[in-house]
Parts: sequence; C-alpha cells; structure tokens
Amino acid sequence: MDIISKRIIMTAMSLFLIGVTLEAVRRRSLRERYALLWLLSGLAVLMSAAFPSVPDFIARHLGITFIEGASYLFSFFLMMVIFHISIAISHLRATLEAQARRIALLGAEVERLRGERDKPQP
Amino acid sequence: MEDGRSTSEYPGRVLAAIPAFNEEASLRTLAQSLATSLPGIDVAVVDDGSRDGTAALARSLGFTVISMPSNMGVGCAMQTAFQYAAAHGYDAVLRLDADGQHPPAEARRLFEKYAETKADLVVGSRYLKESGRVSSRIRGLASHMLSLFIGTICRTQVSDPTSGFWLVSTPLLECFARDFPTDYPEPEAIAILHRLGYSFAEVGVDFRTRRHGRSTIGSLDAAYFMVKVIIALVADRVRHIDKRDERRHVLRAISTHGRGLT
Repeated sequence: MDIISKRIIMTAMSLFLIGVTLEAVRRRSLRERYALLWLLSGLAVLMSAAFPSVPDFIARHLGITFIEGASYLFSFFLMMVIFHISIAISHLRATLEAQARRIALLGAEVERLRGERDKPQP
Repeated sequence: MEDGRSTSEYPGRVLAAIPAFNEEASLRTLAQSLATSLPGIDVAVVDDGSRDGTAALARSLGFTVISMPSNMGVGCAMQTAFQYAAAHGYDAVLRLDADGQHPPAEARRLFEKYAETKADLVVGSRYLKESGRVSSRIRGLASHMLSLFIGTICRTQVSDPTSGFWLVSTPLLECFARDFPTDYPEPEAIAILHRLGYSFAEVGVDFRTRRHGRSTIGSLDAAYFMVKVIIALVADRVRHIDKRDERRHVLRAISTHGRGLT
C-alpha cells in the first residue's frame, strides 16, 4: 500500500472517531470534559495524515515507518484518555463515598425519629 | 442514644463502633460479651451492605444501626461511625470488629492506656507484650516489614499496624470524621497521625481467633498486600496535608464552633 492510500485510510478513521465523539456529546451520552481528549486523539491522527512531517519526524528518529510513527502519536493520546478516565473514577469514588455516608447517617436518624414517634405516650 | 452513659474507665462518653459485613453469625456472641464487659456503653453497628440479617439482628439487640446503602469498604464505614459519633457529641470511639476477634473485655487495657498517656489514638496490638517489647511471634515477614516501614515514617514503634482494635479520642475523632483513608485505613491512618500532630500509643491485648466467616484481607497474598500498602503509605507521605486536619486547628475549630461540623 502506498503512502497516499495509508493517509486516506487514516483520514477516514480519524474523521470517524471525531464524528462518533461529537455525536455522543450531542446525545449527552458523553460529557464535554471527557470528550476533549478523544477529539484531540482524532485530531492527532488527522494531522498525521494531513501533515506527514510530524509522524515522519518521529519515524526518522526512532528508525520506524511512517505508519508506526502515526500509531505512536495516537497511542500517546489514548494513554492520556485512559489516565483522564482513571482520575475521573477516583473523583467519582470519593463523591460516591460521601453520598453513601450521608445516606447511612440520614437513615439512622430517620430510624431514631420513627422510634421516638412510635413510642407509647406516657 | 443521646443519654448514653460513659464507661467507668473513660473520662467521657464512648461509642462502641462495629463495622459489620455479613456478620450475623458472630454478632450475638459479641453482644453478650459487650453486655458483660462494657455494660451501658452505646453501640453503633455500621452495616456495610450486608446480604444476611446483620442489620435486623443488630437492631433487635438494641444497637443503633447505621446502614450503608451498598458495600463501601471498612474505611468508609468507619468514617461514617466517626461522623455519627462527632454529630452526637461522643468523646471517643472504641472500634471493635464484628467477628469477635477484639474481645470487649480487653477494651479495659485501651482505656487504661488512654488514662496513662492521653494519646489521641490507642491501638490494641496483638504483638506487644506487657513489657513493651515486640513479641517474636510476629506472623510472617510482610507484617514485620510493614510495621518497620510505618515505624520509620512515624518515628515511633508501631508493632501492629493492621490492628483495628482502636480507641479514638477527640480531637482526632473530629479529624477522622472529616477525612479518613479508605484503601488500607488502619496503616494509612496511623502513618498520617504524626504529620498532623496527633499522639499515638499501643497496648498489648489478646485477640481471639475468628470463629465465623473470613477476614477481608486474610485470603490476600500477604506480600502483595504489603506492596500495595507501602505504595499507599508513600503516597500519603508525599501528599499535601490539609491544615484544617491538624490537631491544633481541629481543637481551635471545636472551641469556636462546637462538635460535629463535618
């Protein structure tokens, strides 16, 4: 496969990724804050296809092919996405724990008040 | 439970907090020993999303039941207990495990140690003899390594960093109500005490072996556990600490705004 066909496939793939991301945001199944890195990943591939000098530069210095250089670039952004998601999960976990504690304490309070209410009047 | 009596051995109101996950089988025995050894003490069972009758049994035994909406882990359950105790004006929390490995009769030793040292956290240690020397019966290298590591961080001897037999007094109680580690709560909490200016003491106690169920970490490979704890401890060591959790700040906040502000 010549370099032009590779660049056409990469363009199609990146446009697909960007399109899917934007659609997910439009349908509110993906929050904007988590969409950003996915968009950047798609753009990285698109830029590699449009301006091959960047992946070429990586490829030359690492002694690999153009397509491998582009993959490295894409992988880097994917790792950023995964890291971002890990941080989001940690944050969610903290929020969830705070809410669980609150629910538990409110439940105990409701139980206490119910007990007081149902106590036979002297 | 607002009018709960204090135990005779502790100068203030103590809440016995029992985190429980599927401990129906052992709770009744624990209730009997509590009634014998610590009569009149207020007891709160934090039911951490049990699927058996733990909550119903605890309720029928006359304990306050705090039910977590799902299984959140012992650290989260204990922080809930600390928040409950702070909001209800308790001066201390005595933590006991629901499986009965912390005999309530041994709590006396923790109270005595508190009277002697006024330490914010008194830990009942399996490995400490009355003489104050670490016993040679330390099970496994992992536990020993961990206690050495924490000892270095805290610059004090910590013979049993994974023991959950605790007596937590105010102001540390308020601090734990605000912020309590959830991954490996016992060693992590002990490791952070030193940085926040709280005092710590250990006393040798006799633990009972579990009769029902299994420990939450018992089946984990000890070495793997140790590595994870040490990573968590290193993270805690380099982490920025919240000034508001420091002992002097918590004391000032209590004198200005009162208790239970978490």
